Amino acid sequence: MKIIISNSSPDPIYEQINRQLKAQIISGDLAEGDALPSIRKLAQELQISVITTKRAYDELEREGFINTVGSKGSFVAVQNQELLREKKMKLVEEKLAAAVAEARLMGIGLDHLQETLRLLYQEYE
Amino acid sequence: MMDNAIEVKGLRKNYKGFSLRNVSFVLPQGTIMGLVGPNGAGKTTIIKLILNLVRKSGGEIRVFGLDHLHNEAEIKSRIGFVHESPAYIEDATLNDLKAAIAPFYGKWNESLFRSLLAEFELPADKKFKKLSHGMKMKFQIALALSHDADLLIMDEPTSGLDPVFRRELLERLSALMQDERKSVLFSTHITSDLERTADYITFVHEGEIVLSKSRDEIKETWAVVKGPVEQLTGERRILLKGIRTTAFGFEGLTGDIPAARRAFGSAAVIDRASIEDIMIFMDRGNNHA
Amino acid sequence: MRNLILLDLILHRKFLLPFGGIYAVWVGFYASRVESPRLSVFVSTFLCCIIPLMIFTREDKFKAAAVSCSLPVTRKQVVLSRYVLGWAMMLVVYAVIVLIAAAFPGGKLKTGDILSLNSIFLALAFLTIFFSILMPLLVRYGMVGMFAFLIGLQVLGAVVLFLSARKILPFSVKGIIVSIGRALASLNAHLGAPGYYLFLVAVLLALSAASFALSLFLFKRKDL
Repeated sequence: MKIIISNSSPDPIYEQINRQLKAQIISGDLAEGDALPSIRKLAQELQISVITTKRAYDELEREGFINTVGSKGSFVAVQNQELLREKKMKLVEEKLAAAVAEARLMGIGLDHLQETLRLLYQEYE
Repeated sequence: MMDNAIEVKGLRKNYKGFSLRNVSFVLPQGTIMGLVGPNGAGKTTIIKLILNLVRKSGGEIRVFGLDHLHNEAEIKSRIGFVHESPAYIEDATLNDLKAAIAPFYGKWNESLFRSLLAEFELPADKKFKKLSHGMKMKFQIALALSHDADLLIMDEPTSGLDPVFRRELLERLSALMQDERKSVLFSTHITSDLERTADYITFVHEGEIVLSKSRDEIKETWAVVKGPVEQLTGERRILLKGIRTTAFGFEGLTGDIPAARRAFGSAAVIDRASIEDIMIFMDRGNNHA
Repeated sequence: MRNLILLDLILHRKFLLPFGGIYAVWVGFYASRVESPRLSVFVSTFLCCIIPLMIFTREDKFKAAAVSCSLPVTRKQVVLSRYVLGWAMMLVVYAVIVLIAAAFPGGKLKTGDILSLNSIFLALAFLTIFFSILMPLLVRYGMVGMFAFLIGLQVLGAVVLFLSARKILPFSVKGIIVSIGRALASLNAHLGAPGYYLFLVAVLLALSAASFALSLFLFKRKDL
C-alpha cells in the first residue's frame, strides 16, 4: 500500500489519502478483505494527525470503499462490480472535469480539447 | 476519542500586571494538543493552573472527568509533567532524585527509566546542578515517561534541545499515541514542533485563547494573502489580520479563504498559512494599526 | 505522606548529616557551659528548631516546591509531612544535644537538671512555640521572610532590653519572665500535679494545631 502526502499541494491531506486509497481499491491493488493500518498507525507513519486519518477513513467508509469492524480495524469492502465500474467512471470524470476547467481558463476550445483527447488515447494503445 | 482528558472552562487568573481571561478549551482523550503563543502569552500559567501549582481566580478545570482540586492526588498519579524551568534540589544526584520521586507512582517502570537514561545519555550519578539545561529537560522527560502516565503535560519540553533530539522526542510522542488512552498537552513557541505532531492547536495571546481547533481545520481555514499595496482597498483590508506593508507589497492573514478569494481574485497570492504564520500575524494583528 | 518525608530525607541528607552533626555538637558544647538550666534549654531548643527550618528553606532556595507539588500529593499532605518531619528532627537533635551536653567534661550543669521532667517539659514547650510561630512565617514569606523576622525579633529584643534598663519602659524583661513563672506556679498549685501538666500539654497541642491550620491555609493559597 503506497501513500504519498504532499504538504505543498492545495488539496487537504485527507483528500490526498482518500484519492490514493480509492484508486488502489478500484484498480485492484488493494483487494477485498485486505486490512488497512489503524488510523493511529497511519498517522504515525505519515506524521500527520490522527484526526486527519480518521476523517479519511470515515469518508471512505461512507462511500462504501472500506468497512471498519470495531476493534479489529478497517478492511477493504466487498466491491459490487457495477458500483465499482461506476466509481471508476467517477474518478475519470473528475479528472476530465479538471482538464475542462483548465482548458476553459486558458481559452482552449472544445474541438481542440477533443482532438487532444483522441491523440492521447491513441498513444496508449 | 470519547472522554476528554482535560476540560477547561472560563478559567481566570489575575496577577499584578497580567491576567488570564476566560480560557476555555478541551483536550479529547487520545490526542495531542499544542499550546502556542509568544513568550508571556500565558501558556505556562495555564499549565500551572491545571497542575494546581497556582491558584485560579475563577473557572473550572476537569482532568479525566474529575475536578482538579477535589481529586488532586489521584489525577496527578496519572500525569507525567515536564516544567519549563526544571527546579530540583541542586546537589542531589539523578539517582537520588529518582529514588525520591519514583515511590510516588504505583506504575513506576524502573527498567524503562534506566533504558531512557541510557538512551538520553544521562549519567545517573551526576549531580543535577552539573547538567546543562537540555539535559535537565531530558531528565524530566525520562521521569515523565517512566510511570505509564495517561496524560503528559509539558511546558516547553523542547527548549534547549537540538533538532535531532527534538525530532526523536516528537516521534516518541507519536509512538506513545498508538495507545488511544494517552493524551498529551504541550506548550511551545517552536511552531515546527507542531506541524508534524499536534492534533489540536490552541493559540494563546496576551492571556486569551485566540483560536483552538484541529490542525486540519486550521490549515484549511487560514491563509496568508500577499499582493501589491495598491490592491489593498478599504473593504479588502477588513478581511485581513496583522497586515504588514513593505516597499514590495503587503501581507495579511485571513480566516476566511473563500471570501478572500472573492475579494482579491487574481490580485493577490493566497498561500496556506503555517502555524508560525498564524502566531506571528495574530501577535502583530493586535498591535498594529 | 511517608513518601514525602523520605523525599526530604533523601534529597537533603548530604546537607543534613554533616551540618546537623557539627551543629548539634557545637550547641551541645555551649549548652553545657551555661549555668541556668532554663536558659540552656531555651537556647538549645531555639537552635534545634533552626535545623528543620534550614532544610525547608533549601527547597525555597531551589524553588523545588513546584516539583513536589506536581507529584501525586495534596497540599495538606505536604504541610503535614513538614510538621511531622520537623518535629522528628527537632526531637532527635535535642536528644543529641542533651547527650553531648551531659557527656562534655567540665560542664556546669548537672545531667539531672537537664533531664528533669520540668526541663523536658520546658523544652517541649519552647520547641512548640518556636516551631509554631516560625513554620507559618516560612510558608508565607519564605526563607527571606523568616530571617527578617528572626533578625527583627533580635533587634526588638535588644531595643526592649536597652529601654527597660534605662527605665524608659515601665517594665523589665526579667520582670515579665518572673511574673510568667509566678502565674504558672499558681496554676500548678490550683490544678495539682497531673492536671497542671495535662493542661499545659493541651495548650501546646492547641498551639500546634493552630499553627498547622494557619500554615495549611497559607500554603494552599501560595502560587508556586
